[in-house]
Amino acid sequence: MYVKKSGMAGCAAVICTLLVFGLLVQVADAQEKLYKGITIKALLYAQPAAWAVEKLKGDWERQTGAKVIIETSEYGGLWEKQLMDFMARTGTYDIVAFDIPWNPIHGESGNLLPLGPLMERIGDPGYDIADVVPRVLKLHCTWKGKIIGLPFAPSVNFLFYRKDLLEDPIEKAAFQAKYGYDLRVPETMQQLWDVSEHFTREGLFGWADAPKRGEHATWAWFPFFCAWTDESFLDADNKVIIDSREAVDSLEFFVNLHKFAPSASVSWGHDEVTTLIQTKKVAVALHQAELSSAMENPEESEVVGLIGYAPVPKKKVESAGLGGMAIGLSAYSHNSEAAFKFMEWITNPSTARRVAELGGPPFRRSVINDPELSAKYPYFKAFGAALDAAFARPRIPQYVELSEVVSAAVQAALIKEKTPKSALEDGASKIREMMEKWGYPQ
Amino acid sequence: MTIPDLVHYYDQKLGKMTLLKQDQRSRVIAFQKIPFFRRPSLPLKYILILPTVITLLAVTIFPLLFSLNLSFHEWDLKTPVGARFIGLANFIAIVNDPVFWVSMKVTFVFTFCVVSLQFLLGLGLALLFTKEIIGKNVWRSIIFLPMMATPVAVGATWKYMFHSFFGIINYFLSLVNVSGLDWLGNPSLALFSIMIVDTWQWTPFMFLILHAGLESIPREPFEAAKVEGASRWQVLRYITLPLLRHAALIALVVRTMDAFKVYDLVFLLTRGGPSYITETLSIYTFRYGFRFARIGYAAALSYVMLFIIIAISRIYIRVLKRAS
Repeated sequence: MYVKKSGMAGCAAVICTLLVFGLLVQVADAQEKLYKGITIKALLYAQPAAWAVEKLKGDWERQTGAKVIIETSEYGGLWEKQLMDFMARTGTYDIVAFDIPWNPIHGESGNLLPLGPLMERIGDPGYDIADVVPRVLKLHCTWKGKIIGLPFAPSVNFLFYRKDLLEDPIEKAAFQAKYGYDLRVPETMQQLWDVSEHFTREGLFGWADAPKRGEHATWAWFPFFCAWTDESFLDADNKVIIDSREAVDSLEFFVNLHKFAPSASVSWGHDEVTTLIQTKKVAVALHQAELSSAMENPEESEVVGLIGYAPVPKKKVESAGLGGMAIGLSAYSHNSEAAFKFMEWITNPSTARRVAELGGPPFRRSVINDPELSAKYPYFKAFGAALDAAFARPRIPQYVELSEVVSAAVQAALIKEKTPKSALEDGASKIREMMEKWGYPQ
Repeated sequence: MTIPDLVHYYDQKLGKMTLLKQDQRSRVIAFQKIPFFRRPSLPLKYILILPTVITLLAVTIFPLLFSLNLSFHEWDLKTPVGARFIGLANFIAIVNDPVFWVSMKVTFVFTFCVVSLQFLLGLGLALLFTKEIIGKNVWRSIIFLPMMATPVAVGATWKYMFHSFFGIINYFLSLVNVSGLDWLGNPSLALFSIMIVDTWQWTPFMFLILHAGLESIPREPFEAAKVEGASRWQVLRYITLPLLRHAALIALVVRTMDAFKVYDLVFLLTRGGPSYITETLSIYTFRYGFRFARIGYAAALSYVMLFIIIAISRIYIRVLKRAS
């Protein structure tokens, strides 16, 4: 009797323990999978950082129970898709990637939710925002004091050069004989000219960049403009300075440098330049820093280990254009909280490191200075320095229209439709008219 | 009306007794003798066409009227300021914009060249197909294939074909010692390259219409001409072309309207560059609508395009009527 009673008590105890344990597991599971059943859609720029997130998102999905759909787009489509979504206010995309010049547009129009309140309410205490490169945070992610995005894939113009060519003893001797100084990674515009000229020969181009119609042309010329003028297109008082003497000189140099580039490059974007570098057809190119991972991919590149990275050479100052993508939370999202947590997750210190490991550009000091990653991606050190010093394009909501005029002027000069001086004078005149209309007295 | 003229009648539709005049009652009784499935049910007709009418209003009429209204407003979606009525200011700005006139010129040159070329090629093919050719049906199917492809796929494929280093066209040219041409970046070749692609894709359309037109021409005039000893050129000039006029004009009207609105090929191949060399009106409108988000101005541009296309169509129709 006693044994029977104690046996039953034992069974009851086991069952209760199991029930309690099961309940605890359920509760824990429910607490973790906070966003079960929620689908978040992110519109990102088609580049290594987005592809890295596509690979890593599963970890967050398993943790939270949410589903994440990553849609990538080329540059033009990225703007148009988010514009149409914001116009219609459908909230199709919860998260959008935006280029730095679009920051004022979204900031003024209220298309992106300010993240401050969310960060205060449900922010991750371990996010460590102080680790983000300050210039990136300020120029990419902030508008009029409010944080409207998180850093994701910043970019600067960079020189990609063939280490094997610049270190070749025969090339060094020939260069020394012709130009009177040692062949080196160009540090000044004159050196850039000499190196490009020296390597322009049958089967090889001395220079390449991507000045195709649209923002690409503006972006390709921008570092040269900044190197000559030490300014952006608008000065501190928002006055147009693209027709100054220094600006004209910079465009003349830029146009003349293209005689060492493929003639077809006037209609090229970044993809074409990437292919040209990968197929060993160019000695020096102006390219996007984060695309260096494409150079080191043995499946598609013939120049693995042969490409060096350097800042844009100096004229008056060292320069680079600050660009790239931040990610913002759509004001029309139906899942703001979940979307914000995903944004926070992909940009937190540990995931940012994993994204950088998979080829995304770094934006945290801890990642830039990581010795293991720096060994894998030699451009990190120069990239970090460039981020600190890079020039931002004009931060006005009407930048896309201003850029269109600049792009047309650059293209007109490149195809010899106009001289650089007349192209910039015509462009400046038109932009001044537009700036007056927009409320920026000239 | 006297009381004996009125009769009570139970109206089944109304479900109650109704006072009717004698002649009305006769008509009602006559109507009710018709089997129900043969009765003309007036409300049902309207109900059945209602979905079409609603769709037409929603998809065509409403957008037309909305965009017309929009064209009289300034509305920049990049700023929080909403739409502002500005009257004809958008249209005046269009007329004063030199880039608009450049794009008009590019569009007219493109349209004239491609339509003329496609017409000549299509006519040549259609005349060829009046002969007995081995595998005629197979050849006809092959000729129609480009027309079936989506313009986006066509543009993307030709962009690779035109690549100055890796494109297949330059590869074949290199076999005959012609050095790589810059098809899309050279200002002298960019618009021509787009014309090549458009001609490749839409010549089959001209061929289709003209071939059908040729097939429908009666044989008697040709037999009479043969008997009279007319030459091939005389037959073509005095019999074939005049009888083909209606079909030719239809083909020309349709292709002209399409070519005038060309967008996808230009967007994929050159985006309007280099500079403004290939900036068609559609690309120009797209830029204002979707890049600059100035939808009032873009709506005004759309209406300018519409008026131009209507004017061109009216010219064609007038010529067609005169031919009739």
